[in-house]
Amino acid sequence: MVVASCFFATLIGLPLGVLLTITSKGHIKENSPLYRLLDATVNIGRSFPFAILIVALIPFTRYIVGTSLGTTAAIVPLTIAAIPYIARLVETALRETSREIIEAARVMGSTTWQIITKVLLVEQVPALIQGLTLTLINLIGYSAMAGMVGAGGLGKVAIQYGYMRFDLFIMTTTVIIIILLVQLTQWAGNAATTHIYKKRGLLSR
Amino acid sequence: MKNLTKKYRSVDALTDVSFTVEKGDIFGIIGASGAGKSTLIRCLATLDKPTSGHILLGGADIFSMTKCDLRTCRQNIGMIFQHFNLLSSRTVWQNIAYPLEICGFSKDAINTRVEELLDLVDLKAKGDVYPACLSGGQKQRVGIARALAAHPEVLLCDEATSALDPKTTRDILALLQRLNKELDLTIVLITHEMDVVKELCNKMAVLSKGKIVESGSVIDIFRDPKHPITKEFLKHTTHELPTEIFKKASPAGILLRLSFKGNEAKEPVISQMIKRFGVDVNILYGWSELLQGILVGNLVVDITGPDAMKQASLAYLSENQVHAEVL
Repeated sequence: MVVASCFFATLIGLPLGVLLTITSKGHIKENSPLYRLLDATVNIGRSFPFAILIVALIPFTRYIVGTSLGTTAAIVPLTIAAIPYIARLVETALRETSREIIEAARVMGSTTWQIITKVLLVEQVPALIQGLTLTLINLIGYSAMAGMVGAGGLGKVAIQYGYMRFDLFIMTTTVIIIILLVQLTQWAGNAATTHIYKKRGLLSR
Repeated sequence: MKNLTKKYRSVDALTDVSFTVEKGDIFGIIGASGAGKSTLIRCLATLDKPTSGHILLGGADIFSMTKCDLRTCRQNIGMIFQHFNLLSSRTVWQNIAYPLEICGFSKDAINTRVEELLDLVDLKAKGDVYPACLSGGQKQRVGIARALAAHPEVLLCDEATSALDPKTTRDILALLQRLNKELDLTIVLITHEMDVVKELCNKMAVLSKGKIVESGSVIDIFRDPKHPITKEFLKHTTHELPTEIFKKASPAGILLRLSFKGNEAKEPVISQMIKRFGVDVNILYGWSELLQGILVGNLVVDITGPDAMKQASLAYLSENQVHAEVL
């Protein structure tokens, strides 16, 4: 559930993040009105409390999935919530690429697409991985909330079987499992980032 | 005359800048910080459009080109930077291959060309290394190799040696000189170091507050700088005359800085002058330097004697192509 929503959210969030970056002031496709529009949209998206988002999206969810309950249905609000989050993370990561490097790429005759794919995205792979890690962990948290509306997974177990039945044991166990999941995800993300830094010779001894 | 650059721009950064660079030239543009050098080279690199005026490369106006032609044009211009600007995510080999990749060269063509370039800049052993593990000089050599990948006609250098130590700077300048000769590469560089211009360039322009205050061949300007800003720059590269010299000069004499170029430095002009006109020449200071492989000698002398003879001596000196500057 978490992985699926992350995947779909990335499909939309990543290009959105790229767009945010390149339309920002001084960047390769500077476009102030567009930037401000996207920026505002992302801000609004991120301000929505997830619990309210789930409820607000019920009609939409029903339209796409056929129901507003269950694991598959939960993917919809999870994805929608993740999109602005990912867009912001991607934008922050890509902004790290220095202007000078982008100009060097322009001087060599790169097209916009080449700059995006060969320079911006590739240079910031470590930052993007960290962004992905944060997103997954965030979604793990959200999925617990989604458990309240009948989504499957740990959230459901924790809330429906544990909390609502006052079963401390189940609650504690599921919380511990969630913690372990988060730790594992963070560890994996860090390991991947460190590996890349090492390869690029950027890790100081 | 393959490369013709004429520039022109108004508003703050640059005003009415105009010069021509010919094929095979190494053209240096020197100026203090804020003089407009970066703006100028950015325009030459097609990154910024001048408010007015034209940049012509081989007769074609860069900023009137279609997007497609502009791409081709950019591929014909190579550029190296003060901070190298290599992609940290790519190895040396991959960095050099970048311009070839975006031009759409085949894998084999890229392989051959990158190997050639690694050889050219003497980095054959470092192909699989990432930029973070290279020294400044090595990074700049990668930058040069990358800039030359697509066989450009012009190489732009944006303060290319400003971040390097003196020895590495000389190595890089030597490399650029070799490339200029071997590949008939036209080089345009901006710098604030006069030593770089002295060592590498054959022509130069001095930029101050957005205007070109002096321009011409390096040798002429070094011998006879006209504008105060030029002289100021030269002070830092040639000898700053010790003040004692001025105290040693006699009140009735003429204090001159004589400068001899190339072959004339071997002619006994001064002793001839003494014999003919009967003046006394007191040598107070002297030095010589190598400019573009040509020996330029300088002497600070104090000439005493009857006024008429002193004037005749000055005339004799100028007849013999010895440049005399009254101090």
